[in-house]
Amino acid sequence: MRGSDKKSQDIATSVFCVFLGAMIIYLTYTTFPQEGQAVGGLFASSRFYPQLVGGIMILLSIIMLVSTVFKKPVRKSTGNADDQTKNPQAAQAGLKPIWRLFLFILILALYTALLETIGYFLLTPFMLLALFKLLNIKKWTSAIALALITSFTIGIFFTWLLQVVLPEGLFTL
Amino acid sequence: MIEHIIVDGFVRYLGLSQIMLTSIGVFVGILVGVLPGVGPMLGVILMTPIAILLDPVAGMSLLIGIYVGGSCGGAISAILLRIPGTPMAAATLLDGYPMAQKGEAPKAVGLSIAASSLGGLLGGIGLMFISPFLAQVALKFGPPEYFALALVGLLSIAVIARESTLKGLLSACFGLFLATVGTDPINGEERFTMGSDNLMGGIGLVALLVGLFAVSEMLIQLEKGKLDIKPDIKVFRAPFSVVMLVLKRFINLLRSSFIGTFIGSLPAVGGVAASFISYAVAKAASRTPDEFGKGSAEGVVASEASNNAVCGGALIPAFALAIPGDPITAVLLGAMILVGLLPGPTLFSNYPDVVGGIFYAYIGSSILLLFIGILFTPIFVSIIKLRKNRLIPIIVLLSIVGTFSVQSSMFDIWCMWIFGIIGYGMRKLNFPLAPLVIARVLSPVIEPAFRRSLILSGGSFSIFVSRPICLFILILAAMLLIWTVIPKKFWQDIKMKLSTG
Repeated sequence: MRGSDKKSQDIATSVFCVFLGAMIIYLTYTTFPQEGQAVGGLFASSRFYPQLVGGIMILLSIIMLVSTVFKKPVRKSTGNADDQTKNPQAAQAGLKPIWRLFLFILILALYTALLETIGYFLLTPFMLLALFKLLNIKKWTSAIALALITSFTIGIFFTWLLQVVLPEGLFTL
Repeated sequence: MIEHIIVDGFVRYLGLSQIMLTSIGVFVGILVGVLPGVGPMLGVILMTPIAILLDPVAGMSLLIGIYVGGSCGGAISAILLRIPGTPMAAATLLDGYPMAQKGEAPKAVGLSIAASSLGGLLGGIGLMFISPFLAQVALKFGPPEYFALALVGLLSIAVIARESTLKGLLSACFGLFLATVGTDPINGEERFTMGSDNLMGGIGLVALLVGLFAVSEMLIQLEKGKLDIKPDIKVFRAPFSVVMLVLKRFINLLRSSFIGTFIGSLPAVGGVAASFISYAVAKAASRTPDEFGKGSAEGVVASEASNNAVCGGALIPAFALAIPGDPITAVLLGAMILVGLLPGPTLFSNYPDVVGGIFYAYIGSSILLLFIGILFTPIFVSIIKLRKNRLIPIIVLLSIVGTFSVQSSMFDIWCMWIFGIIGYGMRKLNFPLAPLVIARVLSPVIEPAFRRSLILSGGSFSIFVSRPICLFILILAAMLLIWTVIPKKFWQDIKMKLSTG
C-alpha cells in the first residue's frame, strides 16, 4: 500500500472513530432510562462510564487525525497488525479473493438463518460440502466424505458427550 | 493459605478426569500450536465452550493444557518449515531450522519439547509459591488499588501495540465500550440493550472472542489464498534421550526458566521478548557463541525453556490480581469467570483447593507435555501437512457449535459473525485485537472499582493519591504511559549519546 493511501485510510478511520465516540455519548442520552433525583450523583449514574469511554475515544481519534494529517507519508508496504506473513499471496486459481470471501460469508449467513428451521444434522453436511467445494477440494467423493464425517463427529461429540442440545429443526432425528 | 493450596489442591486435581483432560488439552494445544495461523489462543477460545460445561478444575485443566501445549507446538513448524507456529517460537527458529537442515530434525524437535516441559515445570513452581504471596498482599487492596492495577494492565496494552500506540488504545476503548453493553454493575440499569432481551446479559464473551479471532483469521486466510499447499516433510519420531541433553545444559535451563517466569509476570511483555532475551543471554554466557545461529542445541533450549516458563509467570498476576500477563491469559481469565471462578485474591482465600488444583493442572501439563510431545511427534509432524482448505471448514463448524453451546442461542452465532467481520476490518486497518480483548476482560474490574472509589470519596480524585499502594501503582502507570508516548527515536538518541560518552 502506498504511503498516501495509508494516510487517507488513517484519516477516514480517525473520522469514523470520532463519530463512534460521539454516537456512544449520544446514545447514553437517548436510550438510557430517565434518571431521577435519587440516582446518587454523577459517579453512580449508569451514563458516566460510557460517556467517559466515548470522550476518551473522541480525544484519541482527534489526536490520531491530527498526527496523520501532519505526518509525511512513508513509501513502504504495510501488512496487517496480527498477520504472520507480510505480503498477501496471489488469488487462488478459479475465484478472486473478494468473491471467495463473499460466497463464504453468504454460505454461512444462509446456514445460520436456516439452522433452527432445518436442524443441525440435516443442514450441516450441505454447508460443509459447499465450503469444501468453494475452497477447491476437487474430488466430490473426498468433499462429501469429509463433510459427513466432520459434521457427524462434531455433532455427536457435543450432543452425546457434552449433552448439548443442537437445533433439531422441523425434521427431528 | 499456601498449605491448603498445596495439599487440598493436590487432592482436588488428582482424579482421572482432570488428568485425562490435561492430557487432551496438551495434545490439542500442540496440534494448534503447530499450525501457523491457528495457535494456542484460538485453541483456548474454541475449547472454552467445552470447558464451561465441566467441573471448574477439570475445565481449566483442559484450557491450561492447551496453553502449555500450544506454547511448545509452535517450535515444530519453526524447526521444520522455518515458519513459527506461534510468535514465541521465532527465537527457536534461529537454531532449530539449521539443525533440521543438517539432518537433526528429530533431535531439534525433541530438544524443544523437553526444554519446554522442564522450563514450564520450573515456571509452575514459581506460580505455586509466588502467587499466594501476591494474593495475600492484594487482600489489603480496596477499590482504588484495584482500579490502579487494572489501569496498569490496560496501559500495558499500549506497550503491546508499541508500533501503533493510538490504534492500540482506540482498540482498548472499543473493548471498554463493548463491556458496558448490558446492565450497569453498580445500579443494575440497562445500557445499550436497544430493548433486546438478548443483550441484557451483555455481548457473549465466547461469541466475541471466537468472532474476533477465529472468524477473522479464516477470512484473512481465505483472502490470502494458496489453501491447497501441502509441505513436503518426512514424518519422524523424536528420541526420549533428548531429556538428558537438556539436563546437561541445566544452568541454561534454570536461567532461561527464571527469565521466562519473571518476564511472563510483567503484563504485556510476553513470550516473544522472553525467548529472545533468554537466547541472547545464553549466547553471551556460552563457551561456543559462534555456534549460535548455525544449529546450537543451547539456543533451542534457551528459547523454548523461556517461552514455556512465561506461561507460569503470566498466570501469577492473573490469578493473584486478576490482571492478565498476556492476551491468552486474558482469555483464560474470561474463561475462569465463565466457569464460575472470580480471579483475584478472594479466590485464594475462599477456594484454595480450586486454586491449588489449577496450579497442579499447570504443573501436570508441563510434565505430560514431555511424554505426549515426544510419543506423538509423528502425528504432530503429519498435521503440518494438512491443507488449509480442509482445516478452515472444520474450524468454522467448531466455532459455530462451540459458540451455540454456551447459551443455546442463535443470537450468539450472529454476534460471532458480526464480530468476525469487525475483527477482519480491524486487522485490515492495522488495529490490534489483543487490546480489545484485554480491555473487555478488565472493564468489569475497572468500572466498578473506579466508580466505587469516587462514590466513597464523595467525588474527590484525591482518594487515588492519598493511598500509598495506589499512588505507587499509578506512578508505574504514568511511567508506562510516558514510555509509550515518547517516540522510540528519543530513547535511541539517549542511548547513543550515553554510549559515546
